[in-house]
Amino acid sequence: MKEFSNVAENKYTAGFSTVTDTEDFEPGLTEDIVKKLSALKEEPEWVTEFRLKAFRHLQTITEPTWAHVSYKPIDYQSLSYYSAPKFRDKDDIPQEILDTFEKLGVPLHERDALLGLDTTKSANKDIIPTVAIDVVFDSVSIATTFQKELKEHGIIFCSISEAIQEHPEMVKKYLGTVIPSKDNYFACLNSAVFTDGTFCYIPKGVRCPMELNTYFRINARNTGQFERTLIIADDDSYVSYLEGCTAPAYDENTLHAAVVELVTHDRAEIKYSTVQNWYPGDENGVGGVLNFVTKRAMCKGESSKVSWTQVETGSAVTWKYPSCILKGDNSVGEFYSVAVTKGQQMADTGTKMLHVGKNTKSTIISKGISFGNSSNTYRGQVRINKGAHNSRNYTQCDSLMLDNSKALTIPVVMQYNNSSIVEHEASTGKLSEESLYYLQSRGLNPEDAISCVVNGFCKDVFQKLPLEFAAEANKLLSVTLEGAVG
Amino acid sequence: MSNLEYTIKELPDLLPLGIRNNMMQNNMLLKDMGDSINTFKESVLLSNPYYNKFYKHMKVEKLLGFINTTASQTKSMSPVMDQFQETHIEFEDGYIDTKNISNFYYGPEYITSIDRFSANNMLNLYQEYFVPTGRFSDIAYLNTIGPVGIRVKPKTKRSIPTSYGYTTKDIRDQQKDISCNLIIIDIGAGSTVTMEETFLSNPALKLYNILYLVREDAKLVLNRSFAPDLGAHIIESKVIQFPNSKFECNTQGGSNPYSQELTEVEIWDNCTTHINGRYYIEKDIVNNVYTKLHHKGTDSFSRVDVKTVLEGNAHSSFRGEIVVDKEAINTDADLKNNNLLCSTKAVAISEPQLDINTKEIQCAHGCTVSNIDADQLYFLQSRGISKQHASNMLKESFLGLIL
Amino acid sequence: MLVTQEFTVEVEGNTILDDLTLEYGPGVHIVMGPNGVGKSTFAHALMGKPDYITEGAVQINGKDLLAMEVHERAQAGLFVSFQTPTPIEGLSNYQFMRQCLKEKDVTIKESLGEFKRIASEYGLPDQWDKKHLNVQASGGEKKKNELIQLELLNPTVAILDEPDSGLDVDAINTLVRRLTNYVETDDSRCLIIISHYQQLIEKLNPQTVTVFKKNGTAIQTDDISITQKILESGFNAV
Repeated sequence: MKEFSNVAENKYTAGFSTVTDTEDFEPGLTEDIVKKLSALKEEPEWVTEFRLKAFRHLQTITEPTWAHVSYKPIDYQSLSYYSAPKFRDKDDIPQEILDTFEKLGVPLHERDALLGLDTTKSANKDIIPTVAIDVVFDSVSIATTFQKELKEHGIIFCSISEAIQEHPEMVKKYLGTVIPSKDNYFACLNSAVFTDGTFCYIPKGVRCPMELNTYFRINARNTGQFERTLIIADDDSYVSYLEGCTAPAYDENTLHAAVVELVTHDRAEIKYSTVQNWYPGDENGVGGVLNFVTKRAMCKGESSKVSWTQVETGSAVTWKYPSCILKGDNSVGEFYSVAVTKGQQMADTGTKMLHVGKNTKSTIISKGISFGNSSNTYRGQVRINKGAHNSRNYTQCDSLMLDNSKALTIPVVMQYNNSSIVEHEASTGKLSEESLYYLQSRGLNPEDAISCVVNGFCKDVFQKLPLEFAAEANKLLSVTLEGAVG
Repeated sequence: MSNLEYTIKELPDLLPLGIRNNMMQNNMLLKDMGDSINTFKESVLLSNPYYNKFYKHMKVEKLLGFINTTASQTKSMSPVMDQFQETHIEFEDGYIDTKNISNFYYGPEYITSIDRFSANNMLNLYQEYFVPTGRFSDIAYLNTIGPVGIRVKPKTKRSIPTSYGYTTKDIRDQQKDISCNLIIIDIGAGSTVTMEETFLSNPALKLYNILYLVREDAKLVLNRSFAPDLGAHIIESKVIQFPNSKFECNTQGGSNPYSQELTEVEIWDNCTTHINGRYYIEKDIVNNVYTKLHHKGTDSFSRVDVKTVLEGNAHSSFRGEIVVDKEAINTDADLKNNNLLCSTKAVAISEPQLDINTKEIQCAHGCTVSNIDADQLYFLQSRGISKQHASNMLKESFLGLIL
Repeated sequence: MLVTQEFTVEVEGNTILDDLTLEYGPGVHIVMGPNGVGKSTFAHALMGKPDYITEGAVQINGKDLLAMEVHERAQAGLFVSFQTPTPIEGLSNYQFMRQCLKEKDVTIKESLGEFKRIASEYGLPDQWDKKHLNVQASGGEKKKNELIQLELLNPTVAILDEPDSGLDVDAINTLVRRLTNYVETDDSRCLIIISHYQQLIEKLNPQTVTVFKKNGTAIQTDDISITQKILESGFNAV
């Protein structure tokens, strides 16, 4: 059996950076910076207040240190909290930015993401676009495609800055209700300095006809990226949303502290998928994105459903627990995750399922793959409250170690009523030599054999991704695994 | 005895005052184990174990109901005496009695007792195995009147009944309060020893810090049970398994208002480890189990199987850690925790953990929390067994009590 | 003797069985029908499985069955064999039987001896009484457990759900022999067997045949030749 070794060369193809004219804030985090940010975005009074309250609270708390990750201490005062390309008109995007996204394969023009066709031309009216995209470059949303078409269905899909201007009542109603500013350190930081993100509202009874996609691109150095996403699905609606991200390969750590809040009303469903490919740092652990994210769904309505599906292959440190609060009776929460760590990467990720309503159900399938010197931790909490009668949880966490890295599984089960059932299983192991031998004896080279087995390991999770992105995830996984064979 | 009243929370502050003539004041012990005593002292002074986050789900506030004068003020229940055969070893705070096992002067052939009075107690050599954990066992270490223990000679094959607590109605029994026991059990190489351990606590609170050394090729089986009474116990066991040894611990419990059983096992090469716990808890009982199996050597096999049935207002917490070092290849480890929650007010918390640092292993864990299976209940009823009776049968078979 | 009048069974809002009026006297009776039509539902509804909503009337030896709790029905003489018997970890085969027989006046020695005898007749291994109930047992072994329980519990009305499935040739011969013996040694015993296995049906010499239909109704006849017709032309022949 061949030995595995660390990645010899940096295969991160998105590691280039773009030179463009930007407007940057000087580094530092003070109350004045917060006010300046709010003023620049021309935000109404209540948003400024929201930010300032969070900022003031931030001064009273300290960064948490309990996760199984280590990183160079972040000097919050040396980061700039706003950097955006200098252009005002969305129809006049600078060429270098367009080129960036061309290179990354992100369709800025209104054209079908898959077919590569321009659907604005009347000749192609019968081609129905499948993906609408909102593109965020550093602190600002550059373009949002198919807004008009979506509007015809009553669907609002725009940047959160735009939503604050156009739909303030709705933003005000939901912002901070799922993740209050005081929830944790990074959520608090985000609440003070959030820049842009996506706002999405699906009206009653509407099934969103396209995949909604937000693509985040970090470009500027020494900045922090703080997006804020808010998705609301009204009664009987459905939306499938995907988040993609990349960043340049810099020598310093880049901080990404995002907050994502989802709310589902009666019988609504949100499918939230993430394919995370932030720059992971080089083989010595220098640079890389620090991905500290708070994501939570409030299944408010009866029989509502939220599925979190994530494929995490990048970032130097990943620290996130997409969670569900299953408040409405009969609601369902799901968490499917594949987290790959290699080189010096560290991941401490997992989920929290809080069962509040009756007959609620949650499923957790977490697959961790680790090699090199990396550390991969699953941390989960399943809590069945007293009133959550007849609830069910099934959890399966498996860790695949491709060499002697570190795999940690830390689940907690708390059950406060006796009509519910919780089942949890976990296992840790390595690639089956027998499987690899068999595949090779049928002509597959060692790399493909490993790829095959690992794909099988991740199958349960990949099946949950929207079709198009399952292919991307597969590709990303094989690129990540390249170098796993010495 | 002074009239000073205190609970386990205040104890760390009182330790340096040398109450009860504990270890910290005893010159003889300070000579033998001074280094270690200082290390523990620093740890306890740094942070009071009562506030240790480790105890998050263990309801330690219930311990405040056990005040040091409780035992002497309450009419103590008569301990279970009939089950003790003629030969057994009795351990109590600073006291060991190998009555009937030992010949008064020369001792039995297969055991040497360890205590501060015996000449070659080798206490200073045992020091290295004791490391502060920041938990109550650190207090047990410092506040004991003196460490006691037994060394079983190599190649001995014996079954030894043991009681933790006095089995005779003695005046000393009346004075026992928050008693702190530091016990060393050293099983010589090649021996096979079974210890039938019975824990007695009366209405008091008892802390135990027990070190079990299972030397090369030795096998130690612990069969633990608890005399049903109003007392509380916190039992911390540290087991060091030398290569090629076998360790098994079988506990049946749940009859005391508060219990904490924390077991850490350090496992070297070619060892076998089994930890089985079966608990039936009802009323307001709080039962906490913690096991940590640290695989340091290669080719070892471990199984943890803890099952609890909960009724009434009971509270159960389980935390099981399996740590496999990078060098511990070919480890086969499995951990199971199953809970049967039978009443509306009972609470079960389960935290199974895996910390794996090498891929050449096979490790798994599983835990379940549920009520009695409706299909099984229906099946038994369909064979003429009443619902209540069927319910009881299922609880008993869950715990493996129907043989 | 088991008699049903306008017996209807509803599960999760769906009516599975509709208005069944059937009569089973002493001796052997056969029940047939396409898969999924509700034969097992019939058996379990009579046993009182939770979540089954029943209407109509059923008497067992003259007593009102539907008014009784599950275990009371068993004690009143009803036995239903499970298609997939439930495993119960921690409870040995024998211990389980002991508990069932507690009500009856049988000594440990007698019942254990009887248990072992029947077990070995069915070809089960020697220490079968110590094995945990249906745990890691093959389909056939689980079926044999059901049959042993049948004989030890001695019900007056027994409904056996495909007792032949999973049994090899020898075991089926034993089955036929023991079942025939069961009804012959006591003429108040009634055996209702759900099966399609023609050879079994013929050897058991049934009194009536009940055919369940897809719409949830059933017809009962004492014309045994109907089983042959079904074998040749399928259930549509009826």
